[in-house]
Amino acid sequence: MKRYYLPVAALIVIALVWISVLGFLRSGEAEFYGDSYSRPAFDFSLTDHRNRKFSLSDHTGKVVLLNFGFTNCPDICPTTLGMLGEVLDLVGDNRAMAIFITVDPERDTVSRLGDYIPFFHDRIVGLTGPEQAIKRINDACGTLYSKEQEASEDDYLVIHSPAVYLVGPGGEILLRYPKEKLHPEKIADDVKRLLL
Amino acid sequence: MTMKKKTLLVFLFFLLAAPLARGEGISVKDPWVRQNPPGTSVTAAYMVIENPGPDDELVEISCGCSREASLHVIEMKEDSDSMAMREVASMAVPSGASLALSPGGPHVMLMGLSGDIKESVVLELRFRSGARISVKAPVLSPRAAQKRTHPH
Repeated sequence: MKRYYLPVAALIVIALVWISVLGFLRSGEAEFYGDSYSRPAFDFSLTDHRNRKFSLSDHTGKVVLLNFGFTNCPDICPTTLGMLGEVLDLVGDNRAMAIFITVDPERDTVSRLGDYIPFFHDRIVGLTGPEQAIKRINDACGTLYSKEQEASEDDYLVIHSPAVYLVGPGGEILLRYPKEKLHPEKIADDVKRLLL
Repeated sequence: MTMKKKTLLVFLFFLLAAPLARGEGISVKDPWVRQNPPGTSVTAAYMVIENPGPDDELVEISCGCSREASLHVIEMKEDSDSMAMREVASMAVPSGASLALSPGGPHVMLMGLSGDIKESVVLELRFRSGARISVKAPVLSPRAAQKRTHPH
């Protein structure tokens, strides 16, 4: 009997540790403002608005706020970019970054993003690249985008996700902020907590 | 100027002023326009339209600053988590209610700006009742727009 004693005790201790860890994680999750959105770590490489290569994996350890849009977007994209600029100011830590991925790579060239992005904030990064790469990032975030059908050849709009996705320090998508949760102070609080 | 002519002018004045007076019920508050980012020729205008009078409808909006001005509403595509803007011919402003045109919601889309907009633009609104309102809307930078929509 005696030789079972140690393994059984060890199992009980391990179980207790797991229960408390899970409990802690769950209580932690509940406190985030963003919707819990666990998606596995992913990576991509695109070109930024200063014409440099950008890979998500080069920014491990940072909290990345990811948003899709296009420069010809009159309302939601500039609204979200203004909001993200405010989040970066509120966080005040350069381990927090915001990236804007175009869903209109045809028109949104590096030079166009170079004119557009710094207007909102000097620490927002605009990204463009091949259609396939952009499609894969949308897939990873669980969203779709498409050119609007009715519009003319160069005046079209692009239907896309208005949400902001938070990529954690480990490169996995942790939280999602739908349109009605694009509140700068509350998003900044989530980011600060993850950077603690 | 003869007395007759004066009377005629006064009469004409009231005749012309009559439609304006009739539209007095409807008013526009807090209009503003988002400054267009460099290199773009599209932006949006926002405001709150208040209607203490009978049911009315905003049927037309125009701006000397752009080739086109249209009314847009936003629709979520439930299946794909994406969002689309849809042009509408008019927007109802029910009696005793207000219509808020705001970022991420119903708005005026200004397409084909004739240049970068600065300081302010004038928007002309026309309603089903015949009321016409002209408002001067300040042009706000991203930071100023953030302050306006999320005051601290």
